[in-house]
Amino acid sequence: MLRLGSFTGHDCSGWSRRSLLQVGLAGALEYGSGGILTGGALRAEGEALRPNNCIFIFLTGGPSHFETFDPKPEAPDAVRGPYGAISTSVPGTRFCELLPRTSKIAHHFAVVRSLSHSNAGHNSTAMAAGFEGGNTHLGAVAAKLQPSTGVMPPFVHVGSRIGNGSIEGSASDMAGGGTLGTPFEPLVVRDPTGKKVDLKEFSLQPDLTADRFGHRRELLASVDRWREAVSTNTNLDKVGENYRRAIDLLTSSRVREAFDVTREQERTRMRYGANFFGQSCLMARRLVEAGTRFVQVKWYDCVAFDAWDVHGAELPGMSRMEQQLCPRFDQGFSALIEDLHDRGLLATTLVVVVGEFGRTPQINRFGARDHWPYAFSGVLAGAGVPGGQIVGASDAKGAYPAHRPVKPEEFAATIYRRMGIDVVGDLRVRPFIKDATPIGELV
Amino acid sequence: MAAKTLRGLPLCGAPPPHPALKESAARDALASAPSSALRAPSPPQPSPGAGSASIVGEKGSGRLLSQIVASLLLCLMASSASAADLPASPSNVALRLVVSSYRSRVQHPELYVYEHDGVGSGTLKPAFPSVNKRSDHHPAFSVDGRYLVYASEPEGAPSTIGVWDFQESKLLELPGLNDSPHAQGNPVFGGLGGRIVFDAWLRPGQPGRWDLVGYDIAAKKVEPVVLPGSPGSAPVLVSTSKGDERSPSITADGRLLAFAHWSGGTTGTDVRVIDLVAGREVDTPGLNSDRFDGEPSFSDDGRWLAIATDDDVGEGGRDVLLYDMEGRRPVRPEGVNTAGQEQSPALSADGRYLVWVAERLEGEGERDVYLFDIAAEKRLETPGLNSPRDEMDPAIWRVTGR
Repeated sequence: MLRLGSFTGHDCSGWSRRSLLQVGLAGALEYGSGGILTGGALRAEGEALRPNNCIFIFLTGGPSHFETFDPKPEAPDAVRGPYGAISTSVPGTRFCELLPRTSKIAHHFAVVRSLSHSNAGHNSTAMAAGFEGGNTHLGAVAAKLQPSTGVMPPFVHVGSRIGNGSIEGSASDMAGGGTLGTPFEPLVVRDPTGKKVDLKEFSLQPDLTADRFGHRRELLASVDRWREAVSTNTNLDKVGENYRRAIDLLTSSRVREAFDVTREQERTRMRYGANFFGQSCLMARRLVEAGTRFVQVKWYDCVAFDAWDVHGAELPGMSRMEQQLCPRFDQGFSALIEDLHDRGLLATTLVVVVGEFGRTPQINRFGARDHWPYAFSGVLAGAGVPGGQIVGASDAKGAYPAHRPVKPEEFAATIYRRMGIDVVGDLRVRPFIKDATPIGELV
Repeated sequence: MAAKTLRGLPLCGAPPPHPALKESAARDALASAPSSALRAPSPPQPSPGAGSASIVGEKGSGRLLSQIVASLLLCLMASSASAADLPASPSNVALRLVVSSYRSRVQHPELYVYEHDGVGSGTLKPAFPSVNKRSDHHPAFSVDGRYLVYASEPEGAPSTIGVWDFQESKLLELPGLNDSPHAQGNPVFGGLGGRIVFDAWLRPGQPGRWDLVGYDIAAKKVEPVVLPGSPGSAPVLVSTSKGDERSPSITADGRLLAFAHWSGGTTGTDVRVIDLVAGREVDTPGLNSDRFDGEPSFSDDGRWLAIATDDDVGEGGRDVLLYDMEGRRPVRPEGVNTAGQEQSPALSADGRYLVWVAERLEGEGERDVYLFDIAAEKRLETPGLNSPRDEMDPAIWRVTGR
């Protein structure tokens, strides 16, 4: 991690001005050097690759594929859930009845019904890092290979950084910068709702005091000293530019406003849902609109009471799907897709929905479902993904892929490819997809 | 479905009393275990005009006067019952709510009582001593407000049914009620409190999957929920082996049963209403949509049925819909629904007050509980009821005589 002298910022909402500046500066440097070293990330792959943004919705806890995108209304009694399957805007495709709004926009997205891996623990990193055991988030790789061009931070995480499905305070962070290092850690916004979010980091310009200005001078001095120390760096000319970008990030009203969902009309905010997830989706739209390359929307903090880990024991079981989880997802996701479409942003924004895994075919004695990684569903929309497609299929019990199994590496390769990254020609991405190729039907 | 507001309800809000609603029965509901309306239905009652169990609407100019007189009568009767049985309440308490809340424990919701003055203030306290690592939810009052039935999920064990006696401050011992290795939930009192009806997953002896199960409190035994068969034939189970029957609600007289039903296949979940005495399904045009419809909740008199619906008609998102069982029409009270999620409705016994769960930008948390005076067509403030965490599954009981 690059540190800038002895300057100390103050923590706020889980991230500090100092750490932000560290990411902003060092990350920007990395982005610059990466581009120089490779001579450009984008290479011809039979067609022109266009850089696209990505909103990656991670449904913490492991959503049931049965009660979302892969209902099995004709399955045996012990398998099928207590909800019906309704028609969608795509003839012949049905989703669970708990997703009525999503069903109406099915023509905008593709569903992969044959995702499969073998880790049934919440610590699985397969879907967020691209392969089991990975610790470098898709967003970090994308930020390195597809750097932002404006002042917006390239990789933003909305929600807590608590590990996949673990209880707050007891687990490590989710995948982040990983092998790419601190510069590619995401900028974290823990609470997007506008009630608790504190964006004082972006308030330097309006209320800049002498004391704070002094800190900035100290900061500048620190940077100067650092510049001397790295004077042999051939990319020194980049430093000034990237430093200015970092300061711009701190002081730009445009950046500040992008993070402030309260600037939206109440009607728009309600359209997304008056809850953490809905407002996270709204913030994600605002961020990609402003130029952020990759936004991860993480579903709530805690697997225990507000995530998709619906075992049934000690918590209201399947009723949480009915009353809490599906309605919130249905509203937030459908509003996001429709809003991106209405604004002309869906063509350049990839939206991904996935969790750690799916749920067991067999309904347990609590009337709910346990972890099941062997077959589950993921969603991709926008950025040229052909809408209305169903890729692969699970078997009659939703237990295993019936055909066209898709590994996390292929899913990740598809995401990178749709973001405009040459997954064949750019050797830097190969370690993060284990040399897998994208899902042919979706590229 | 036409969007209409509710107007013209009598001040007390209660339609005429049902013949079964006797003072003694109301007072001794649980202890004396009155007639088994669910198991062995009594002969059909003559229609009491605008009476609660009647599903035939009274017409004519005398209807409003009839309702007012009946409302006063019901209030008087209930007042008499409350004086004998209810835990002491401050004189300014008009409504008692119970909600399930994560306010104190992030992982295990607890039940809280909120006593409201009927105007705009109230106080909150735990419903009963908390048990660590147990989630309590889906509460429902007995007719007289003395008892609370709820679902309870200890850590690592299936959900069970509990009954709390507010007057004695203790849990009732109900042998056999939870004799199942599988989950049970969504309990309500039925038949003046002499019965508990709940849904159960794969309970031994039941048809299969999610079924409705009855429990006779006096006899302390489980009994099936049945319709009377034709003369000389056996009663017919309401629950089915292939479909799912969940979230029951029963009128105070035990005559009308509403529940969420999914018959399997590509159909959606609908709310079905069954007349347990007449032994037939009640026609409810406009109640269900082609999407999810569930969480039914009757007013005790059976005049109103509240449900949650994903239909396309309302403000957007899931909405609360009231259904006028007398006029056989859906009604959408203004000020209840928004573009967000409204769900888990419950009605006071007289149908005047509605509580429900909603997510609003101005709320305290995400899921908050709201209180609505249907007769006055306005939302009542409930300071202190909601927290930054989720409140859910509200139940309401109107402190009688006020």
